[in-house]
Amino acid sequence: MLSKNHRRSFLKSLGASSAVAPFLWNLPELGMANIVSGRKKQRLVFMFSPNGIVPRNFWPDEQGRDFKLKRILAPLEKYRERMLVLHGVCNKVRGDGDSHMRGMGCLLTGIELFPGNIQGGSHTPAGWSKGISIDQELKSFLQKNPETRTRFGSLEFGVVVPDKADPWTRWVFAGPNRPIAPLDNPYDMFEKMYGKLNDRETLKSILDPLRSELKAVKSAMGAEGKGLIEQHEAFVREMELEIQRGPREVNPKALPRLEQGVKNENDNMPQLSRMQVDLLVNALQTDMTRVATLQYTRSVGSARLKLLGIEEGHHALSHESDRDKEAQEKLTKIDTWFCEQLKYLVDKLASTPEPDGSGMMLDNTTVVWTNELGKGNSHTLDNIPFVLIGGGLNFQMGRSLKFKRIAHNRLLMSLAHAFGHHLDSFGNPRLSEGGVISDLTQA
Amino acid sequence: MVSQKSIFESSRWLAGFSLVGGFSLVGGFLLVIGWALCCPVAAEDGRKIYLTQCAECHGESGEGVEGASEQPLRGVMTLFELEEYIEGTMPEGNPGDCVGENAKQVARFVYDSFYSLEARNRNNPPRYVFSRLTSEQYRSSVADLLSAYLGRQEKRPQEHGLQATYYDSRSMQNNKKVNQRIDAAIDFDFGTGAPEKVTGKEFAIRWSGSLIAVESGEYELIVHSANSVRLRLNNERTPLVDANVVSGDRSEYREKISLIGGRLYDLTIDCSRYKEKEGFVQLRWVRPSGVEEVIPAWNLTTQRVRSLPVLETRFPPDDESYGYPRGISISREWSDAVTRGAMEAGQLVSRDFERFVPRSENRAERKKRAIQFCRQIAEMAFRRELSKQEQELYLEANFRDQGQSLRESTRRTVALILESPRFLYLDLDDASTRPAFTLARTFWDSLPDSRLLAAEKSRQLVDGDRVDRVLVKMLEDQRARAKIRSFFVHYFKLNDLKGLVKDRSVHPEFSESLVADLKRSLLIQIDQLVWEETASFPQLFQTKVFYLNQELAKFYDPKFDDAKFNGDPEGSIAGFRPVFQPGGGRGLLTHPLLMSGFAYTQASSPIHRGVFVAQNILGRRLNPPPDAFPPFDGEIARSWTTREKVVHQTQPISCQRCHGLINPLGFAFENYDEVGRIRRDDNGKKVDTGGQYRTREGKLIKYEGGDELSAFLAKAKPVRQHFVEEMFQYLVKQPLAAYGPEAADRLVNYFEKNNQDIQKLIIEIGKIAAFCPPNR
Repeated sequence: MLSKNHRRSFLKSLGASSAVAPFLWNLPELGMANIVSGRKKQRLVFMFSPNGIVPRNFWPDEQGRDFKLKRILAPLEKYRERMLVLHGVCNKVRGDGDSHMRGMGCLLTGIELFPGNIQGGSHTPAGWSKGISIDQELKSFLQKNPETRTRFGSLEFGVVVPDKADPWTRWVFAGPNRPIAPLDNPYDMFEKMYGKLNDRETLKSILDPLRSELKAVKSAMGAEGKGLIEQHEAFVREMELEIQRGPREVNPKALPRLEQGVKNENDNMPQLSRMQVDLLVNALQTDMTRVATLQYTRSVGSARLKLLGIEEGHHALSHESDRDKEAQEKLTKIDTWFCEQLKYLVDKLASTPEPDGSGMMLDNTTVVWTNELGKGNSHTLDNIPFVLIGGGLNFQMGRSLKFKRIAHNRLLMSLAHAFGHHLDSFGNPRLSEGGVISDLTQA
Repeated sequence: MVSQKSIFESSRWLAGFSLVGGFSLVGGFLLVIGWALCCPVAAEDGRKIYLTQCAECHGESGEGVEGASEQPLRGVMTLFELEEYIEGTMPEGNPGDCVGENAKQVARFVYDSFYSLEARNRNNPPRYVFSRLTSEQYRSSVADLLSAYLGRQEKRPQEHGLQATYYDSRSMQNNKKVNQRIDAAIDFDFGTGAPEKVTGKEFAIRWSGSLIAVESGEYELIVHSANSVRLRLNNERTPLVDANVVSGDRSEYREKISLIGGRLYDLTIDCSRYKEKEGFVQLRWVRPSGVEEVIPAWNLTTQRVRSLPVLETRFPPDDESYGYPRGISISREWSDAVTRGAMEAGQLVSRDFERFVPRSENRAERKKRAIQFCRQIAEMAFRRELSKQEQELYLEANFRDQGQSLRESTRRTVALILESPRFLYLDLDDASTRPAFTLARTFWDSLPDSRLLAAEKSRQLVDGDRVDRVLVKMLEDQRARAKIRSFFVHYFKLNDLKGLVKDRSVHPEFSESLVADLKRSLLIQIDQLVWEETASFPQLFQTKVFYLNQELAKFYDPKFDDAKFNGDPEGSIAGFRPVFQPGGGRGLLTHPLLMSGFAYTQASSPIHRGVFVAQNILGRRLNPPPDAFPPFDGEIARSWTTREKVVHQTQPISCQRCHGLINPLGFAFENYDEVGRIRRDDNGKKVDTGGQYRTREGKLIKYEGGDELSAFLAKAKPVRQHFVEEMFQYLVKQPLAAYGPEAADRLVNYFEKNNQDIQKLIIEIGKIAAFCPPNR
């Protein structure tokens, strides 16, 4: 979000006074044109689910255009032509921290963690990431240009994220030692997105009664006080005029409707997930942001998906051996459930028209689903799941690609290049060697 | 409390009213008691002389005459000075025409009829000023209004410092608890070692208690640590600083927070060390008017409190032309701030809706509760029950829209209430002029709490003795302590001393932190004088001690003995202990904060010190100097003392009218140098502290040094009068004379009869404000 100072100077440039300004700012402007100066809108969403996947139920056997989706990815069948499944992309960042920590803290940053005090089950203790994450890098790139600048630049969504700030729980970094916490309460997110609108409505609602009260008070008063009240009336009138002159109104009925009273806790994960996705799509649609992250629990996440009939926590299950059929079955179900959340998001994007009517939102939005580990019980950072769906980047979609252990830094770089942000390296420069993955754009 | 008959009681007796119903009106008797005594027969002669010799140029009532003496005859000279002036210069051109007894009589006539402040007050009685809540009152009232629902009760500090629990492990397990104690401040460097009783390198410490904010404004909290730290302040849920994760070399965390002065804010810090090379932790702050420093023990207490909902909204400063904030004017900025404040309060309620309006499954019941909550807020804010129309406007109308959530309706209603003129402006109608509210404003700058309202309901605010008991309780509240303290900041002009620095090359040890300690030293002593000791006003001028901590003692006491200053002996407060004044002096006027504050960076300033004593202590009114003069420092003055320079520079007769009064008052303190240390010599010559003061009646008082001057001030009636009047106006924010032409005399008499007990004076002031009708 913009700093307070930045916001103030921005408001000044609008010519709004200090009182009204906070209530005018940040209103969604529906219907903004999709194509600005010849370049189409591009959006990127990263989705995270934890603890690795069950490889044999996840990775397609085939390479190229002709591939079959296995159980976990099966819900996405409808989008097979519009997706990329990338096998062989590895998180090669080493140094301090256990695999879950590095898997998380280096996933979008591609750089080591600082030495620190957080001790995992193995390895040395570590702190926060030493660098910025790719979503934030893209945010600042887009925010620099008035044509791609949006109100928030990026939004960080969470679903049932434990209320803890540690290297297992943060994957977005504004810079070295600057983790950004996801907002996992949909009501907080709504407040962030639309709170100012509520404020303006509140302000408008109190102006009439306020005026009538000032008048009533004035009429019952001696000369001395009258002058003061008259001044007060004049100030209220000024304020009212400023509101009228302010930006175009938004019909409050057009706001996303949230189910009321859903408590932010594990058992409500399905509702919370839907509410957050609804808000996310709304934020993209209203161009509040073009970059977003959606984080389910955290690395080592212990969601209990009782609705799937699973009582154990996700992380504990992920440690079970490959031979434990029951555990592998449960893990597959959990991964599939996450895939269904992805599908809900993609469905929504595919069925929501761009505000200017130029196709659907998915045409200009790429969703990247990823994970902190390749596989739960081995804690490997090799073969990190990367599934891309949608459009808007110059990638050749509809393929299953298998690489020979390439560093994930190169994928992060490729995403930046697809936005026209031509980085020479990203994260650890050594791991960026080889540059962008040319296979992504070439059929 | 056994008290002499108070103004409040005598007024009631005179007016022949009995108070019924807590806040019914007392008749305007004070206006009836006239000033018959003020015009003795002898004045008739003075009047005749004036009309024949003076009125032609000055007008019949001293109003001035165009083309002649245009300035009205209103001024600051004492009667004696006026006599001398007329004797020597009037009538213009023929001063011999009015001398001796004639000059005396005409001076008396002029002085009593229109010249003096008293005469002006009588001719044009000061009126009760229509006003709004001050910014501080607004913020405090809103905070207290909402905090009542969050279970907060205002509390007084207990022991200074924080409760500390040490663990022999990096996690806070009960069975690893090895030490519990009170730490004065958080400022520890364990190096590669560990705290006391910890066996290994890993440890954890929890400090808990409250932060005491003395002034209102934005505070910056700074945690400096190589280890894992989490700081919670005034928020049970979200830490202000969450540095649980140690990462790289980062060891400093800064966060800002708005606080209201005079309150306690719950504070906990958890710290733990794992494998970090070093262990250190420090809690520092930058106060709104301060330098960065380790938060001192005086601002920490082991007392715990619930959080206080403090508005972040900033308000423009209030009118302080009288030396204290008053809500007598408004501006667009203020109106905007109130809007933002009201909206913010609405958000606070909306965010924590369930804590304000208890949940219910039944929508009708929920709605009832929400409306009930809003009604309570409105009745407190408007200081009375709502009329039919107000119920409709504030409650019914906002809850009519079925499509709107109760949360939203409540938020709008709260915002509307807190922006309403019925909340913002004071005493709009008789019904809202209730003693409980006036008392809360007078002592706390806020709204009454449930206890005070209960006292009002059970008619304890009707009867004299019972009222006293309630008021004594009110003064035990931290908010009252804070307000009285800020009165003394005003009385001693301490706000003028911001940015106090001295020449670094001469006084390298006179640091910003020393100045901060000096201010604490004086405030601690004032707290002690008012609340803990005899609370007798002359003590301000007679006390033989100062409260010094180690740093101050080292700097100011030539006989300082490090070994003797160990420990925390009986009677010491937050590291400050009473010690005899290094110079053997008496009273607070020689406190090093005042002595260094009213001085230049390289020299003492008898003029600043003299002006301070004349204006703030003696209550003398001075005209401002015709021009600003830098201190005299010519070549010829190379070998002069400061006193000699001042005498030389203020020699002209035009200067002497004021400097004749100012300089000798300031000279009394010439044995204190620019940092407030005692000295015998100035520029190689023995200091001369002799001086004299001519009273309003013309009596000449001679003294040698600050002690003798203080001894005089301790007994001088004008000093008491001025103090009483200042205290009244500071607390009530209304002129004392608005409560009747004799209110000042009566209050001073009361003060004198009650052994000049400051606490009793405060209580009496509260009663006048709450129960005596002012001249509106």
